[in-house]
Amino acid sequence: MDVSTTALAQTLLNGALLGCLYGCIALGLTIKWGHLGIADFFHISVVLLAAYITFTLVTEAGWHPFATLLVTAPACFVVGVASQWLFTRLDADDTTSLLLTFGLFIVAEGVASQLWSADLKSMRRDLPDGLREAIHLPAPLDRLAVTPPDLLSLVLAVVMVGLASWSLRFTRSGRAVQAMRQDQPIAEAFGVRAAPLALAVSGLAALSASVAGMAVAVKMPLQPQLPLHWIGVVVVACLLGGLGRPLGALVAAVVLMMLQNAWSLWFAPQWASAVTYGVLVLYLAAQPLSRVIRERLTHERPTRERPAVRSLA
Amino acid sequence: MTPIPTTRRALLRHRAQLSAGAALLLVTSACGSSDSEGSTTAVPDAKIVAPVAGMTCNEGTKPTGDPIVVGGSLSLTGPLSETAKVHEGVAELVTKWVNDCGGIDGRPLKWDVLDDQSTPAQVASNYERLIGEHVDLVMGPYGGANTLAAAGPVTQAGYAFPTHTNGAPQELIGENHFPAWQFDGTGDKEHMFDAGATTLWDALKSSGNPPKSVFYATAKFPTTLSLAAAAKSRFEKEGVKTTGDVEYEFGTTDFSSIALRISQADPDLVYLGGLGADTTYLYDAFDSIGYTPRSVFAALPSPASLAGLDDEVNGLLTLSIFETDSALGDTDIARYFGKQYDEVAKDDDLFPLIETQAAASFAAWQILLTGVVNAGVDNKAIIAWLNSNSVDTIAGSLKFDGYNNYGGDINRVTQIQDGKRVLVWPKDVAGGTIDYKP
Amino acid sequence: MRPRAWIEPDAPLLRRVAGIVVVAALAAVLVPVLGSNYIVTFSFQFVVWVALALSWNVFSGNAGYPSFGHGVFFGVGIYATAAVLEHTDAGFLVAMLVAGLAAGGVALVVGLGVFASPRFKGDLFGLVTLALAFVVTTVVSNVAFLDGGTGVFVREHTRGLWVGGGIRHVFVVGVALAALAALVALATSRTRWGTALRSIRDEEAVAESLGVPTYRYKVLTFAVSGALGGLIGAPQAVYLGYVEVGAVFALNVPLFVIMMTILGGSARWWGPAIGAAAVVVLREVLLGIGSPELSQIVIGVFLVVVIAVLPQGISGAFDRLRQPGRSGVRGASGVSR
Repeated sequence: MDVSTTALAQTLLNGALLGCLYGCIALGLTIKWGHLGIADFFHISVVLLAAYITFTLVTEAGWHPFATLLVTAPACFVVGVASQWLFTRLDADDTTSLLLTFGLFIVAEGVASQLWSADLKSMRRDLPDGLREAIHLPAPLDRLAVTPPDLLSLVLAVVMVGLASWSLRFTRSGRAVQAMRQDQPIAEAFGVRAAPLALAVSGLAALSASVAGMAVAVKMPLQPQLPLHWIGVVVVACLLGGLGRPLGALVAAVVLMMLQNAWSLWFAPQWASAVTYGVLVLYLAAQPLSRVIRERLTHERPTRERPAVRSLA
Repeated sequence: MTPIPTTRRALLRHRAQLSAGAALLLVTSACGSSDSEGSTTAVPDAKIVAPVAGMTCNEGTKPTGDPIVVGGSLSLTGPLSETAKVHEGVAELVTKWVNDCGGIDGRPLKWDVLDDQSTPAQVASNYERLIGEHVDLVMGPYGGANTLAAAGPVTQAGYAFPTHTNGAPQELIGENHFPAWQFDGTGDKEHMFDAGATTLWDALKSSGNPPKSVFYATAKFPTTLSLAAAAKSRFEKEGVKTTGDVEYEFGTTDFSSIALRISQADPDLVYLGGLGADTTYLYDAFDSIGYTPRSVFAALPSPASLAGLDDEVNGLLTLSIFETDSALGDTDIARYFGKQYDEVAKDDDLFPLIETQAAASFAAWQILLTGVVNAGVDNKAIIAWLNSNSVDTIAGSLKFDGYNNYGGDINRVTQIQDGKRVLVWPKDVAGGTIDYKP
Repeated sequence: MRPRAWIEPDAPLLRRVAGIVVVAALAAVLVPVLGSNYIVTFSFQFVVWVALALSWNVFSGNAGYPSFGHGVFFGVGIYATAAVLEHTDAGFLVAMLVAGLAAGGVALVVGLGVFASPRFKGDLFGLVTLALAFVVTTVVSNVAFLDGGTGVFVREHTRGLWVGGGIRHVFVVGVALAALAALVALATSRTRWGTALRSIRDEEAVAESLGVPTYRYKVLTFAVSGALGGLIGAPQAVYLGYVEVGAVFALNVPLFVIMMTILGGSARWWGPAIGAAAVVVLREVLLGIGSPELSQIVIGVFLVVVIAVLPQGISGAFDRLRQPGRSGVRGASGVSR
């Protein structure tokens, strides 16, 4: 491989791994958004708060980062259940709940800077040995390197997204969640107990924040403003991946970050974050177009327009 | 959730999380080593002296009478709060210091601060409020945009306007502006950053191995853009090759592509026109691709960000107007300030190190206090006095006679050597020599 | 809910228009004459927020499309003003006009795209407008004509102008624009236009099937709302003196605007103005409590509690108190301050 191919491969690899981290963060959001109808900005704050707790346990109490999940996972679960209870209790429509979660988003930033100060908090020094050094891939890819925190994001993303997709598809409760989303009254008539199920889903979604938070704390230094940096990518990934589809969000996040990194390598990095929104804008611009196409297709369906479609394929 | 350390050991551990550099200083001082003499933590028994020349310190005298109220707005919440809290800490420190010295002419000093939530609109309103409440004097806010927002009401009301961190010096404020962080005001406004670039070049040249190629990566932020542009034009004039020049969005945390570009160019010097935590994130990106830069200059990194990087940043160069390990730190005032700042940092959970921010903050107070000591609590008289005299501050002697009341450039070059920050250039204030072999 | 079919008789409408004009004229004269600099500055910030909240409500509140992009329109207005003053010799009025047109233009383009898909309403619409904020920020910080990252020193260019003559002049402009926003808000509460918007909020599909051209209404009203937000950016640019991307496009602008509207309620056209008053005063009072982080938390908690306790806001509660069982809009008493 020559140098620039290596660079491109490396930047795409970095992007993909960072995308995995965003996929972990997006997981809980897309599930809540798609299946409970709540665009929960606060979920992103919970990730940061979990990361801060991880930081404190690792640096103050000397815990292994993985062990901190014993504390953060139950805590996040409770937060998830409580927030869902609040939304149900208030009988909030999607607009109101969006505003509510934005309010909580602000509170969380205040709480984080109150408790952990606005300084950068890095636990790089307190990490177990070997969690920091770059690992070179085996030949013939030996010019590419990855870091253990990035690999951790990859593993966690695959495990969590896999578990979530599998249980949504193949477990009884998962199918109940899907049914509930399509038509709650009918689902309830068939014996789905919507309220407890929603609480459980919200709790589990928030639980994923604890894992994502751990991955964040291992990978990067923390500061209270981080959720603002994440929110764009995470939300766009959820939208592009299809709401309620963990795998879709993960793939979208990976693709977005790969695009963004490749852009920064070739073009002006100061426009990099615009790439994500550029994709979103393209997607939006495609809406009127797809509307026209859809309308035409539905109008002309009786006359069988299949050949045209096939010729495209 | 941040614990309050009660024992010495707990304190040590607490600091260890804050910084390797500070921990190193504490350990060396605890072991009685003498090589960190003059550093903030190694001189616990610095004697109280008056904070400015021309003022006498009557320790133990309780000030009486009407307080002299100094009003100011600081970004105590929001994105600017990390550094703004340094200025709040110094303001509290100076107030206590003056009052421990019996006040000014027997009158106590009072600091009246309002939070502006990091929004310039609120800054302007806060100064109107303070002026409406008839504060005697004002102190500038943190940062360029805030400073310029405050300048409107402050100037109109005829107050002297000392500023610690005006990062946009070329925008004209007027005769009442007394900047502590000085850029070169002897020429015209287009060239205010050139002298600082020359200082950097001279520092590099003094090592005997100046860089032959430079890669510039600059945050989209007024001060860093100005600094980088001046440095680039100076370096190119010296025949240094530019192997890359990119700008990135202010607040970027993912530097992996920029790090890759740098590793491709493999320059002698990486010029990082970054602020705050940028250095940390860039080094993280270097880590993730397994690249070690030959040498790095970082423009305005937060001290915590550098210290958090441990030995990895050994040899890194940065800009600072003050270091404890320098001729500037070797005065009674600087020593007492260092001791007090250490305590304030402990109480307020600030990073226990004095560099541009804390030093500029103190220098701005010194400017104001010197004005008061010599001209009384009268803004018109203070403005007139300061415009025709120079003021001795912790960052050196400052004059207010050039463009926008700037005197000479006071930006200096600091290098991280064995985990410690050493001021290496210019020679007359240096605490060590540059060690530079890209 | 069916769209309301009534239109109020004209006499009260005229009375209200006159009320707004008189109150604004009185404020424009009395506040600068009687108030201290601080009072005028505070009042200026107050009218800016009132104008922002009212203009946000014109579209987002009435049509039920919560936008997080109002800070963008405000910011575009600020930067358009700065650009005109910096690069041309045109006066402030031209700059203000350009500010309104630029912001309205951005809103128009976005609206044309977003409203074409029925999917983008409610939370999705909110998030798209949030993304708009990031896009515009990136563009402004990279286009040297607008900013390019170095900031624009507006004060330098307003020195000789009338509007640069101090906070009192800026305030007069602010009041005039707040009054304009109030008039538009009044119009949306009293005309077919407003009825159509509320029918979109209540049951868009039904409205469409009844022949309401919802797409056109949404696109145009969003543009009007954006243009008003841009207009108020003009005096703000002069007030700030120096504009910088990070501060101008901070997310707290849309956030505060939304909080104000929720608090005030959008059941009455003047609800957002009440909300603006409450939030501005609360913020200013909290400045004095000595714990900045705490005041940030208080404001956030305040928002959450308001949503929970007063879902219709203060003006909604007012309705319930005055006329239990009827939610029609009646009897507002001019601009409430």
